[in-house]
Amino acid sequence: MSRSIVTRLILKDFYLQWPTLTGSLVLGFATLALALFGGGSPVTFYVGSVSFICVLILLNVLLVGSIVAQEKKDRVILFVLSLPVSTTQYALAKLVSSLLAFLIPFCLLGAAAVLVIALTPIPHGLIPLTLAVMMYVCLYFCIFLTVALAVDSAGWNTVVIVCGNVLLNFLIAWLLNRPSVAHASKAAAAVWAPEILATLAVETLGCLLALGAAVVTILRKKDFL
Amino acid sequence: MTDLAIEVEGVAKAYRFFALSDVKLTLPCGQIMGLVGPNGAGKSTLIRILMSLIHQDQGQVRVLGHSMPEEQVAAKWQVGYVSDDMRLYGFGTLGWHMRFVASIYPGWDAPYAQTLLKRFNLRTEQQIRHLSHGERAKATLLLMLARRPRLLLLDEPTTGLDPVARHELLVELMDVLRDERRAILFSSHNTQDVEQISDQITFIDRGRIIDSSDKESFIERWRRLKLEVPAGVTLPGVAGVVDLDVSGHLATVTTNAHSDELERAYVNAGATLHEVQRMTLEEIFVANVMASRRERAS
Amino acid sequence: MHSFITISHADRRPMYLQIIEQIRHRIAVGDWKAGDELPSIRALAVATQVSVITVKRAYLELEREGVIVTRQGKASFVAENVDLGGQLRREELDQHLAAAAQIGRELALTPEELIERLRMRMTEGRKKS
Repeated sequence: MSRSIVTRLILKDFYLQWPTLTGSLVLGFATLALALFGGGSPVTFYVGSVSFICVLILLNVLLVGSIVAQEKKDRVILFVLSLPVSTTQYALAKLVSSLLAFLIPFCLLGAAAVLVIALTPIPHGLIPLTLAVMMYVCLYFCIFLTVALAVDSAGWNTVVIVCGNVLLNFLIAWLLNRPSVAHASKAAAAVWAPEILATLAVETLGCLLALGAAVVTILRKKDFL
Repeated sequence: MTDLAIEVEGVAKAYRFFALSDVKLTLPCGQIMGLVGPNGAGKSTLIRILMSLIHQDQGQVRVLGHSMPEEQVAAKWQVGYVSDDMRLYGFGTLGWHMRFVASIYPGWDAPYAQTLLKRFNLRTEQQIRHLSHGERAKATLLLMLARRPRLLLLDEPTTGLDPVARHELLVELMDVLRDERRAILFSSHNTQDVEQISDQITFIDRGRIIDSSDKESFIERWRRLKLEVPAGVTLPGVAGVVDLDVSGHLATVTTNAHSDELERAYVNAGATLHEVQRMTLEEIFVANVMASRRERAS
Repeated sequence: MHSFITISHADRRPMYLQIIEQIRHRIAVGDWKAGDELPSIRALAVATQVSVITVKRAYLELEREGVIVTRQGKASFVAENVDLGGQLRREELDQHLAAAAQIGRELALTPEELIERLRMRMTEGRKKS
């Protein structure tokens, strides 16, 4: 009986996030188009791709903010917790709905980016770099989600957002400075430099660890107010 | 099947600057309990513990026979909770909320929900964020009342309601009591409402229950005696006196154990009994809290 | 239907006394006759928004005075042979006397002085009628 409550809560979160999800998909495709089809000039590519990443980050931040933090901030959580659902089930539902709400547009946009690069004359060397940056955003999301679920603090949320954005710049700068990466990104075929592979591994592992920490925190938490 | 709606024993919860301690409370089915206390006394904390929104550090809590927080989901099927700081989804309509709650609870009474809509003067198409404070409070109450829970836990339900809405709410709350198997616990600053509809009254101050009894017992036990104390007469120490205020030749005795013997004790000592006044629940409450704080300070 | 009983907050008397008085009044004016069934305690509590325990106390008091009779602990009925008219008036008198006693105390009269004033009033009244 109560598992269907959890399902209802997840669906309810989706319903309420509909504008954010569709908006990010539209903007995501638009910026992708700008980057990859904007006449081939470095400027449009740069602007488009940076905007694309920004859309993903915005999606991340908005989703965690409105699904997890907002309910607690404006006390809607009291209404939801008055329903026949335990505090643990509530938090797990939040985790799942946030993950799904992020991953669905994220994967769609990511797949679109990779496919477009793969199926067009755009150098395929871009693919590894693209994936490394996108997986960073995924890691950023997982960490932000875990922090927001574990700690009820606008201060910590701000710290995560600032660090997340700043570190992204460092990551891109570092990667582009690696000779193997910089060279490979212009190649016609996808080349997987060791730095790229290492980055992807760390990012994936980081996502799993963060989500694991989230689950552990939820199961151990006693108060939700 | 237990006939106790609420059983709390030895419950404690500590925060940095506040602690609930040694809380004991029972509420049988078919009755209403009013929980009265100053701001910060712990009323909301206690009610949230009953709902498992907060877990107690120590002590046993049973709600409709279910042990909390372990059996919180089972309990929540039959318990309705509304607090004055609770909010609904701003961008949703009242109708959306009603459909959402109705889809969860098989006991949702749709005709009753329609009656409440009319009685509370609400419309289903309005977005919650456009409702006034009072309308939003009524909407939240409607969502809870329409599913006819066995136990109602209400944290300041009449705060922010105009007198008409308050009266309508009291009518609905008393209507709940038509069924002897249902019960209500509500916290309030409005001692007049508590005095009118409560069967049991519990006073709480600074995290402790300072008195808990049935309403008529409170009303009968507490009195203010106005005495005239002629020169040369010393008033005896009498058991059951909560406060003694002497000013010139007049004295006011506040007692929580009124009896003829008590009156005679003063008369026999030479004082004249000028008047014996009953006390409103508010006066009883304030006197009780003041006495309890004095006792704790010493 | 049951809305004839209203609790006044302006009235400083306890609620159970107000209920008792209003039930007595109903019986005294003949709306409820001997043998008629009273509303159940719970139904009356719900209709007047007064706690069950208060209504219960009122009913118990009325039963103690012989105004109503409770059968099998369930339903209550107006008692037979209730001399309410006289009782009501005597109660009214007691209230007036209590008020007079209060004023007497404030004026520091002795009971004898107060009784003397009452005697004067009663004699006057008889002379007039």
